[in-house]
Amino acid sequence: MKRRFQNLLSYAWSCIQRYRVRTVVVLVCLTVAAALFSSVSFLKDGLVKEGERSLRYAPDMTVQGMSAGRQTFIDSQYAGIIQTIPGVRTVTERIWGYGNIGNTLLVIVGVDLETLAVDPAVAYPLESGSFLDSQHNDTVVIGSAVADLIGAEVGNVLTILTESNQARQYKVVGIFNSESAIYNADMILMNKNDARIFFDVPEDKVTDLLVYTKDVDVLYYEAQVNYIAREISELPNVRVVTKSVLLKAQETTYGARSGFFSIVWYIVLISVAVVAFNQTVVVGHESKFEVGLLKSLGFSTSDVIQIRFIESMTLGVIAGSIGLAGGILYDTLLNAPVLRDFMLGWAVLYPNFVVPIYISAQTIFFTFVITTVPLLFATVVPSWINATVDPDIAMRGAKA
Amino acid sequence: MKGRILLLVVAALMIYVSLSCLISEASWVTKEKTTDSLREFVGLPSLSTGNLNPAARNPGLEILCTGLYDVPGGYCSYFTLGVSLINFTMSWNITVSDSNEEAISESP
Repeated sequence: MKRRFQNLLSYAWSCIQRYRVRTVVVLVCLTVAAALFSSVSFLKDGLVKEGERSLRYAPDMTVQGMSAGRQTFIDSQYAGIIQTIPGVRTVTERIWGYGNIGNTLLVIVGVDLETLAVDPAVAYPLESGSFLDSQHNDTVVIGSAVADLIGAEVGNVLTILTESNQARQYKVVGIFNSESAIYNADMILMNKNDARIFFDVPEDKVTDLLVYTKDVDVLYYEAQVNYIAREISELPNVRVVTKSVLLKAQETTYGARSGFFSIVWYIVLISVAVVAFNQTVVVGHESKFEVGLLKSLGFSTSDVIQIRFIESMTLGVIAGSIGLAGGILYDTLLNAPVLRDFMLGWAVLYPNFVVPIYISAQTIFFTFVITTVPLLFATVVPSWINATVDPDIAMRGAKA
Repeated sequence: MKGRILLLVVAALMIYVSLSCLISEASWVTKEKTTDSLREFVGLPSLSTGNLNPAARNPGLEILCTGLYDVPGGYCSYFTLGVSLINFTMSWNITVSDSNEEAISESP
């Protein structure tokens, strides 16, 4: 049995070597398809994972102000009303917006240092300096990309023109490190009151309210969120965005339905289909004679199918392995040039961070499926059809 | 001989892929177990990759901004389908100075 398999394997291997052009074409096409598919998938999975991590810390609900169907500031007095709803643990006010330095846009986030106590024991992801302190006003912590852009260091004073063309001064007390750059590269973090002055937000308004619910059993979590969201939505001019909605939006944005991912997926499918078609038409015809000859020498139909199966599996596995290794190296060593730009989009201030990559067993499995299954169908089925025909007719047909 | 070398190369590649997968899985498990103090503090749901794009900078979509929610880093009001709404050179409205108020860099 073992000897028989070794003989079939040896014959399949000789076929791979004999049809050299076909082997190279199939290997190149499938390797490129595997590399493209795997590198995009690793990148996409990494971004989704990173997004999920962010959302783990997101509030259970974000309450926005609405006016004529558009997002606007929300009355800060709503915080007190929402706090009285059963199931609500904390309501935090947040003021944030965009600022520009020349044509470069930045995110300016003001956090409530009175509600959110800064724990000195906690290690914040800082490259240098210290974190914000409720005792000191007009201080900021900036992202590494912002620091690079303006050449700022800890201790420097930033004089920034606000939207209303007022010059405001902030002392840089800390710079975030590059490890956390994926979510703070373009951020300037400051006290909520400083952000209020910067954006000229009226005293009784904030950008949004962050609602954190009480800890309950997982089974009751959704019911609690739905109840609180319904209660909040009865307030005038508000919109409630729950964490699960944000998660779905994020998954869709980077996930399987994302535009770029779909395009890559279609390219991969088309290239594999073309290769498979090529196999069916060219090799199917060539192998007719060969199959007839093998059968006349005593090979059974099952032997012929096994030879083609081994041949296709070998090519598919080789292409899949090279493609996957290429995809991993491209993403990890080279930091996914070109693809990275497509997946992450456009930017003026482009955060220089290591792209998050998630090499999942699922993606590896699917990549091997892509490189083997279509090839198996394209070779095994025609050889099976040929093998069922009388050897004499098969050889004559092939000659004709 | 050739076949044996190829077999070894493929085996090496498969080991490399499997190891990469294991390392990646382990690093994500560790990451998820670690508390992220800053994200927890700020409650910031957006990645900074999401800046300058109406759909987290993904050319195929307009979900986050047009349909749902502008999160810090979404830059929803500044870009439309990836095209900047500001196409002229704006003034450099920031000055960096040291603690003695001596300018390090100024508006050009």
